[in-house]
Amino acid sequence: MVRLEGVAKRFPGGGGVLGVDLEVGEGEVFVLLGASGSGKTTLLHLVAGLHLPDAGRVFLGGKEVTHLPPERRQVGYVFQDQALWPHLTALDHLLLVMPKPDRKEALGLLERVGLLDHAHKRPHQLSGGQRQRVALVRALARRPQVLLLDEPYSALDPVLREELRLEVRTLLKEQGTTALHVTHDPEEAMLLADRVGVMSQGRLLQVGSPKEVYLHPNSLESFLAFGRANLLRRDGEVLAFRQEWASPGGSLIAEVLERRELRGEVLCRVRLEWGEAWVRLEARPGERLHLKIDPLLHFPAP
Amino acid sequence: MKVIPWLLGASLVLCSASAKDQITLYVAGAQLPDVQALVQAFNQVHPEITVQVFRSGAGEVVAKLRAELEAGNPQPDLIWLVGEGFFRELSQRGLLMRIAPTFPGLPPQYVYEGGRYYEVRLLHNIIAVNSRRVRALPRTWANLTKEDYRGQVVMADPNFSGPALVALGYLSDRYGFGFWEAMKRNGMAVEQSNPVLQQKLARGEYSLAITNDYGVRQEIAKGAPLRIVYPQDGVIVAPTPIGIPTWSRRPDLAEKFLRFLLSERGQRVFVERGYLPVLPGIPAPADAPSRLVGVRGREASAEILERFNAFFGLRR
Amino acid sequence: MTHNPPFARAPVAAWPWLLAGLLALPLLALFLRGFPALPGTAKDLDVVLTSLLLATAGSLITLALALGLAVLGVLGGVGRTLEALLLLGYLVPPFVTSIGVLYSLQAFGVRIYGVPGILLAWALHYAPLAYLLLKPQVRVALGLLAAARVHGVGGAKALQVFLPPLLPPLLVAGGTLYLALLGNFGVPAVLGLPERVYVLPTLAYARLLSPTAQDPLGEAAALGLWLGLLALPVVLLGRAGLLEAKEPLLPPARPAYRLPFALYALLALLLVLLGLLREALLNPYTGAWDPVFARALDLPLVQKGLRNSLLLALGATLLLLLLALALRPFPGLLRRVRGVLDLHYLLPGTLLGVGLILLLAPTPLYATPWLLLLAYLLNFAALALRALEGGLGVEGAVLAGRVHGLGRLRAWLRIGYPLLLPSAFAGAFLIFPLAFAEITLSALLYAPGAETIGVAVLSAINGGLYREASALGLVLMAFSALALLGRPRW
Repeated sequence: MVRLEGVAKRFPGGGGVLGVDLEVGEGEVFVLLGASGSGKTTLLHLVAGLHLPDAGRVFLGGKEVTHLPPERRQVGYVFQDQALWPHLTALDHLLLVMPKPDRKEALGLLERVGLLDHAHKRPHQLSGGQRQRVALVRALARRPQVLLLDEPYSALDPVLREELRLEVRTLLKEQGTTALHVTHDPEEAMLLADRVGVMSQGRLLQVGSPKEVYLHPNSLESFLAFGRANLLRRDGEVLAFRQEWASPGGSLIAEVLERRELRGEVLCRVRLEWGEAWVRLEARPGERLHLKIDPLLHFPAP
Repeated sequence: MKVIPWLLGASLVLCSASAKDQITLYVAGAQLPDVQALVQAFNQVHPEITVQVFRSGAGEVVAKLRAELEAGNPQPDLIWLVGEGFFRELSQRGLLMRIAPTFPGLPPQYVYEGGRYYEVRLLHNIIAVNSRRVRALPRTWANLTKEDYRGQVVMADPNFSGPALVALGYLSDRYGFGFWEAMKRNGMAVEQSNPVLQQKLARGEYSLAITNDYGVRQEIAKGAPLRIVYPQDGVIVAPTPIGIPTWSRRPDLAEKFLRFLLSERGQRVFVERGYLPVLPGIPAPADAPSRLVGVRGREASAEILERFNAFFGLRR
Repeated sequence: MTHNPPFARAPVAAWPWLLAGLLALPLLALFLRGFPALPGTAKDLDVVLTSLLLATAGSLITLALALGLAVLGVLGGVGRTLEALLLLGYLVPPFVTSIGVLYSLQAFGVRIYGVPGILLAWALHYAPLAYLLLKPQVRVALGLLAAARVHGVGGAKALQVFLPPLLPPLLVAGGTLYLALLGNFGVPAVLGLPERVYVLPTLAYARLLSPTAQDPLGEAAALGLWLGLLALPVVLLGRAGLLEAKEPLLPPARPAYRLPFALYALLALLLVLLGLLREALLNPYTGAWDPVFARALDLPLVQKGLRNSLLLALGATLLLLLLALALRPFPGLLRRVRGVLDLHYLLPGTLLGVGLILLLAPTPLYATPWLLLLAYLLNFAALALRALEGGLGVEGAVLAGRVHGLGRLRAWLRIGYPLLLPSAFAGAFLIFPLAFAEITLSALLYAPGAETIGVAVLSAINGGLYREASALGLVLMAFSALALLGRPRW
């Protein structure tokens, strides 16, 4: 559905995207995961047509759209700050973007996200979550070829964020919409993605199912992208493992320094031969025990 | 994008110029209300003719006209100034239209250069006195250098004011430049223009002024504590010629205005405003002497003016 | 690869430069005519110095006054009505402030011509402007001061927290004031000329109309160049960093501080009003009741002036805002044109005026209101563009529209322009009074047929018609008060 071939874009102030190849299948939810400045938003802009690439080609639905202006590409875009139009009601937002304005359909969409009673309200009369939903259905009202989402929940509080992201996934799967979703939150990536692409410094480092990338990162950056990371140095290389990959038994000696509980899990700060780490383990401070870490990843030191 | 307003403006101006009956008058030596009174009276006889007016001190009017001539775009259909110098210049360059002196009753001494320009009213330089501040009235120009009047005399800037330039010329001729040196030592001030200094004189900022008569008469009529002294060593008549330039687009209308000024009706308006008429048989303003013998003054030469400027620290 | 023009790039690059060049023609003409005449201005170097010193001194005095008012205003929680009283002083044209102050003090026997008068009139007129510029910054600075107090820092040490953050906005406000004072014509024309105290704008004007000048246009142009030289460093300095506009932690408003604020606003207004009222209503010799409004409004110069000023101000405001709206979707074009237009606004009006005379005096535009309209358009265009700056919010909303399928034109019509309407409105309230009371350009370009109300008042003053001038000043004040009533929340 979406295909990028060798797409690159440089900015005079730095950042941008360096030679990315990507393919998103129809109905697939693809999440781009990366820190700020990794180029993920730029990539999204390139698909939307808000920037023109310096090199490479962009295809939507099999057609090349590299030089098409955004209004001819038939994409939907959910912005980070919603970018709602302050002078229009929620209903008007939908009617404005529909190629054939259909009141019934628009109201139906609003109802689908529980905003039927707020159809005639203006953005400043809506809560953050409600605004985000308006932005979502505005994007869907066009029946876009692909829905582009740019960290759409970052402006909301954590509880609302969780609620909304699950709703969005359900809606997308229901409608069978192809989606390209950008985020810096690894949990979000794991929850929403059919496939995940890890981006860092303008490059696409690894693509695969969330489980795949989580368990088998191909680089230090990919590893770090999913969090829960422990990094220790040993002779010019970096040892990396996730908190839950440690278990009792094994040959490593560890001294427990601190114990904390988080969401029903117990985490302990332990001192190992090469440094300190946080592991998911039931133990008490002061204890000395044996640990097994599997897998223990090795990466060359940066 | 900006050509359009230009074209619009140009066409509008061209249309307006030909459509309306309109003339432009550049005038010095008369105040705005005076000119307005004249124009209003004129419009009672000729309601269809619009008169646009630019009024300022003689110096400024001449400078503006010179600039327009240099740019090749002179505006006025009538020029009315104080002092003959500029008019002689225009006449020499052949830029003044000759109007045949067929004005009933007009004495020939008021027809200049065979009708190229005319005198339509009499303007005199006199000594104006604030009667609340001065007991002993001066009798002559020379009296003004007296110790009693130290720091209380004012005159207008001759670079700007036509009558002042004539006064400068006459008094320099008669008494030499030493007169002005004495006046400077006596603390004479130089104000921008006659109307301004007349206001200040009337309000008591000064006690005596070398100034023109009509303005003072107007202020007296409003209740100002002023008196006119006609100096015994010469009441200076400042020539105030009016003429029609050859570049005028509507010389016919301009001539109508000139005729009006020299008609009985026009002359009466002058008298109402405090000027002395040129047509005999029209009674003079109330407080003016019935027979006033003035001495015809001449503008100061450029050298005298420069000396005056340097001496009084005037800069323009 | 494809032949569709890429959408984000500006149109073919040549003609914006051409447009910018065309707009810069008056300044170019000024330079060409004035540069050779510069040696002739050696005798006028004292006026150059006077201009510089007066503008600097005036800026400092006004800045100090405004800072005090801003502090009082913020600490006292001054409301809109009280502020409106202060702002009225700014909407009154500077030359009206001058004659008001002149006649008021004359009534007490104080002669205020010359340098003290000029500084006083400037301070009274421009302090409200500086107040508006400084107030938001003072709010933040006072918030920092409150934070300091919470941490036990008080007294003189607290000033270390309060003053340094204020330095950039003080510089910006000071720069704005300096440019305004440097180029101001009305105040020195009323209060300086009679005392023969010249500044560059009035000297250029006097030279242009001087019968003894050898080369009036050249000398005026050269003086304009000097003005440009004095102004350019500040123009190029650009905008220093301003403080962030987060909601500061402020102590609760103390009404006690409102009193001195109100007193100042009232006194400033009275100082202008009293003189004008006295002159316009009472006969100066007998003290009898004798209003001259009828007489003043009877003068054809005044009638034409009022009519022209109204039409010109309305026309200029409308045209400029339409132009600004039309240009907004084209940031590339806007940027190129913006530079020149900023120059026309920031540099003293004398430069533009003399430049236009040099360019257009030989054309039929001379002695018509159209020349004035052109001058006003060039002068105030930058203001209109600034008024619509409105931040990236509008661009973002339009982009959102385009992403959702709205064509470029439709996106701007349905989304961009409606969002810009409030800014356009605010811009109209900014530009109209300035254009209505404009005098610098109007005096230079004046010819019968192109009179404005400012020129009419100036002519009245020069013609000794003090009472009529005062009456007109009061009429202008009434107009300004009306404009204030409709002012949007700034």
